[in-house]
Amino acid sequence: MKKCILIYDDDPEISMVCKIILETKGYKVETRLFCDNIIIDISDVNPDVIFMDLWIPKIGGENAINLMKDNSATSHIPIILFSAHSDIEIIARRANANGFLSKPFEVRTLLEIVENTIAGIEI
Amino acid sequence: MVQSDINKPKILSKNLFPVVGIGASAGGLEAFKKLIKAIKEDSGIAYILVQHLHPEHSSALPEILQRETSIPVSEISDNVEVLPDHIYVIPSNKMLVATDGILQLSPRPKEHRNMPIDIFFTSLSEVHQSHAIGIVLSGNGADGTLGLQSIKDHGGITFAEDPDSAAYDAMPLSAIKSEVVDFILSPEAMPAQLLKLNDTFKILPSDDDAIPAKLTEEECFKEIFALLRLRNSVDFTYYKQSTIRRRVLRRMIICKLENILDYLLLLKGSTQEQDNLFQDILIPVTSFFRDPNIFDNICKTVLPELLENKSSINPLRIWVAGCSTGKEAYSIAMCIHEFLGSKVSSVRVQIFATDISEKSIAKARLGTFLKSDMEGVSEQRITEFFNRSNGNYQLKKSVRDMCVFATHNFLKDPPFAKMDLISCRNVLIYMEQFLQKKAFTAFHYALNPKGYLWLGKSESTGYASEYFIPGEKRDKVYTRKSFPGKYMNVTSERREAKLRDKDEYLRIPARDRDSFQKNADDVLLAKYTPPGVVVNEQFDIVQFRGSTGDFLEPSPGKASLNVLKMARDGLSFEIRNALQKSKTTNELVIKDNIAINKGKTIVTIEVIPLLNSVDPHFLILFRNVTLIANKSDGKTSKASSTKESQENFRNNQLEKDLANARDDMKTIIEDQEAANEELQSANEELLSGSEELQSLNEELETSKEELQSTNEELITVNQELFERNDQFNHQRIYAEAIVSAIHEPLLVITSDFRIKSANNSFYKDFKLTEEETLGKVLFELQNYGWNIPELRNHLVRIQKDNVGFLEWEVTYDFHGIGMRTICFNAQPIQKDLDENLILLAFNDITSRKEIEKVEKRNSDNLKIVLGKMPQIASTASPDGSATYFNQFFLDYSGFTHEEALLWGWEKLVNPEQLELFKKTWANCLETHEDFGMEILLKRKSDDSFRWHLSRAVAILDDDSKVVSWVGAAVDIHDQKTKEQAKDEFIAIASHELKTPLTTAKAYIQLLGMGMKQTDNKDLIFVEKAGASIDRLNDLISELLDVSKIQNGKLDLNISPFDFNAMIRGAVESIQYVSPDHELLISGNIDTAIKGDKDRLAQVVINLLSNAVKYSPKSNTVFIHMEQKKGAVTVSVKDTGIGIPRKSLEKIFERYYREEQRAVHFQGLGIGLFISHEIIERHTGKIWAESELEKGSTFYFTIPTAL
Repeated sequence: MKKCILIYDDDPEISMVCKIILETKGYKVETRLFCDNIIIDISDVNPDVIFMDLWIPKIGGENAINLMKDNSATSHIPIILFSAHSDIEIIARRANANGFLSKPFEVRTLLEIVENTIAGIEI
Repeated sequence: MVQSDINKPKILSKNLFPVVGIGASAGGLEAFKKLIKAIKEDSGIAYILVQHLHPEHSSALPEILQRETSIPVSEISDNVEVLPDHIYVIPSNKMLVATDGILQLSPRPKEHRNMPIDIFFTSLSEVHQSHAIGIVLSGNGADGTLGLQSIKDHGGITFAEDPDSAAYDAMPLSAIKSEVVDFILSPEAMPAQLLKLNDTFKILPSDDDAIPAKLTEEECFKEIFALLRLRNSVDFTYYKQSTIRRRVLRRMIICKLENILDYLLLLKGSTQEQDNLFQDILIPVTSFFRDPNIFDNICKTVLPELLENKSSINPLRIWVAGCSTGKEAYSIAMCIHEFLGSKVSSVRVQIFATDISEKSIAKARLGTFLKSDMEGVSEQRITEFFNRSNGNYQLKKSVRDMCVFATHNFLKDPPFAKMDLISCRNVLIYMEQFLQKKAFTAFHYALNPKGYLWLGKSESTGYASEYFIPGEKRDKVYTRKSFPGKYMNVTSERREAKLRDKDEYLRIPARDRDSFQKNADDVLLAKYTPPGVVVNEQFDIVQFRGSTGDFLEPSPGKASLNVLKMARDGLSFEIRNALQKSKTTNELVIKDNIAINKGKTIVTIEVIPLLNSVDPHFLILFRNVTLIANKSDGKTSKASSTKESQENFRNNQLEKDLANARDDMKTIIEDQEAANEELQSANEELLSGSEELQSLNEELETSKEELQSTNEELITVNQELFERNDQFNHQRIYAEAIVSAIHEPLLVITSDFRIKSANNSFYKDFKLTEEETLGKVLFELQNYGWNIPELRNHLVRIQKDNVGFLEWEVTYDFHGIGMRTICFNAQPIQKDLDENLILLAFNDITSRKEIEKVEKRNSDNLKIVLGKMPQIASTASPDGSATYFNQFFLDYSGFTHEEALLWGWEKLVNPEQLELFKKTWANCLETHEDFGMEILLKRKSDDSFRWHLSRAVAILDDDSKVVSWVGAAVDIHDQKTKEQAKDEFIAIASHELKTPLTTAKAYIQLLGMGMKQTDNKDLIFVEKAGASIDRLNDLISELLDVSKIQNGKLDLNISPFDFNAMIRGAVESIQYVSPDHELLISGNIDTAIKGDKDRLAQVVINLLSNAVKYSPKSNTVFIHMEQKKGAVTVSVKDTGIGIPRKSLEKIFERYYREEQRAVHFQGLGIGLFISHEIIERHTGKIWAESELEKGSTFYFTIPTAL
């Protein structure tokens, strides 16, 4: 079965290009512009990995991560914070994300992160 | 000496192919991929991967890895059947352990430390022994190190990833530092080495058929043993051959030799390698409280029994044979300590711990262990028996003193005696039956009649059941059997001689023969070989050859195989003589014409020493010479019977005499033999006594050295006391000199106010002489001119309260010097009960008082000026306390002048800044530097904080002393908020700029990937576009950095890092974008440097890219680093266009662009500004030297420790 990746970004262009890249590698990709309904989204899509933008309406990426990590039904799903913010590494650690990806990124890096996360490797 | 299960045959796998365990953590996926890609399809090796996985996430690792190789990759399921040319992955929530000889999955325990690699490697090594190979790849932490250790102990081979190639180098580094790694390679290079090893494995004999394949190999092993015997005086010939062979082959693999002859040559030339092999063969495996269950039993049952009759006169004696690094001995000592509790001092305990390795004994004597050694010791025992120092564990003296360590070979050196307990665990398993028996004899001798022998889990006294019987229900504890008449062999050293001859001798029997030839040989041997016996050193017969009935018969009495007792009449004497002679000369001895059986038979005996045995043995051959004369005698006797009978009578007479004489001699000989035996046993006791004395002597030597060092300490203390005395004298002289030279007048007066002493200043200032002063009452001086009532009151009070006074001023008209203001200091000096002295110091402050008056007037004027100022202003005294606030301050703050004086600035400053404000201000007060700070001050009118630029300067007098401080603050709030808004705007703008950039970059890369596949020539344009996007991204980041620097928000992430690697990384990234330039690195930084690695790399990249950018015509850039006086200096030198002198200082300013450069080259001109800021934040310096058209050199230096 195809592994599913759920991307949150308010910029549809970024979601689109990630979708193209990941779909060529055989992943199923779902995208969302808002992060407020993250719990419902997860139960709809059943993703293996989630990418979460930091500055995203309405409640913001950090709050969204907290919501899903506090919920025992969703807390096991690995979530990657991605943003152009220069302190992303510190913010990712603070927000309890499983990893981070800084924008702009290399295509290779995106794929490596997805692969590592799906393999269940702790980074 | 070794892990307990090693000798259990059932646990060993029959696999004859290597099984490679590969462990990794963070960064492992990349390393796995590289390694797996390089594995050939038919390597004949099985691979098992262990990766730290998240226990709750499911893993798709096998699918991901299967893309890289055609070899089947599968997750291990329940029935683990490992096949060659397969790759297995361990599932995330399980771990692999060895149970009963096969690998089985078991659930991963939650509470256990997460060390799956260690657990797996240990299991692997137990099951697959020398066919186990362990590889540790990238990862954080130290998992895998203990596992590799276990693999190495079982004869396997170990690998670690080269830390330079590993994404996370902590795991391989930990293994390498523990010295358990045989090969350090990059993952790509590992499969090739594995293949080479697999070839070598094929010549390894398996345990089942340990018979050597080749004759030459056999000879080589013999030579190796001979070399070791010469070097270490230890003979390994009768050690378990399979173990020894595995060890030798292990060394060969490590030395990268494939032929045993090559290894022999290496061994001959290198004593270092001989020692390595020796240490390797000894297998120093040990731990505290090994097999804790058995340990507990021993403590509960054996110890109480042994300690029953012990006291300080009758010590408990324990011998730990093969103690390695002493952990066993110390464990026993700790147990005894625990058992005895408070009675420990009433019983003397001697634990003799011996081993043949001097290296191990030296370690044991230290009694210091690493943290990793402490496994098995409970926290309670650690606190009770160990002192922690420098992260190590040092045994306390009470435990250490119980143990005596000595190098000793119990197979060769005389044993100790009168032992209560001998512990010899997992030592005998390495020896063949012959040596085991020898060891048991030694232990039997050494033990007391009721002593115990304690063996390892898989050892038993099977081969020597006549010496020991197993204890009741006790694990591996045996009691000594008593029987009389046995005594120990004390073997001699002389067998070390003639090694060469022996080796020559040994080669003969190894030849092959045809079977008929063998049969013929057997017939000949049976028919024509003279009968004989083989005897040992005690002349006990160990083998009969042919029929010896004619020469030997069982002697009456107790059954004995002693050849001297069995020999027929008349032969015993000659055999003894011949044997003794042969024993001393080591040569063949022949005795002819010996008459036995009352002269009926004549015998020739030959005694041949057998040299190729460990203990001396002798072969005795008998040859019969029948007397023909006797027979003819019978026929001719009748003719001359009378004459003959007379002769016969005489003959008989003589023979009788002879027989009597022989009987006498026999008795004498028996007496002598008994004496001999006694002597020999006495001798042995002496030898073991001397051995003990030797060990005690060594201990005494150590104690003596300790005493010596204590003595030295005492001498040092004594010397110090002398020095103190000197110092004291010196200080007295010093104090006296000060008193006499001091500018202020000083007086010492007695309790009745008489002057005891005065200094020169006193005489001078008050115009008095010594005669007029000393011994006089103070108030009567100069004709009662000193009768100052207040002074008298003060002095009387001192006498009463015994408390001095300071800075008491009095203005008085002194006789002869006029009106003066004097400041008095007085201090009572209580010398003893009778004599109370008072020290009185004078300071004439008349002139100072006048100056103060003038100054007060000046400062009043200053206050008038400040009062009219339309800014906050205040003054403060030299100690920082506020003295004045102007009206503007009072209006702004809403304080009254009194409130302001009470609270100062502190109530006005924003609480968040208060700490920094106080610190800065205190620093200025000390250094007298100007104070300057941007602070938020609270405005009363709207309760808001507003930004102020605050300054304060010290006002100095002619002597550069601070008179007062004057401070002012200007409102800069509007300016400041505008700047902040701008910086925030830049931060958001750069974020927004990066968003479309992200999309652009990803599409460009997708485009590039597509073109690469179709070999499109336009790929170059796409790559250039990609480079431009990267450049754009860098520029945006620089802008953001500048705004951060301005807000003071550039946070450094300080940690130690490898400086060399940082420089290399920076150079590589520049090389990547400027392939035409040659970047030359020189110098090296040995120690780890503390700093922000990424920010410093940013500086180096900035300097390098400038150097490349501004030297378009030349193409070499030099980067040099060096470490000096606690600082690291890096220089980047180019041979480009250079910088004019006038610009050199300005280039580090923000937005500054040197004109000439600006015309020709692109850039924002903020790179150097950022670099400057980063280096400053590291408390370092950055500067440049340059010459126009010749080139520039940029330097920066940072301290090695922040």
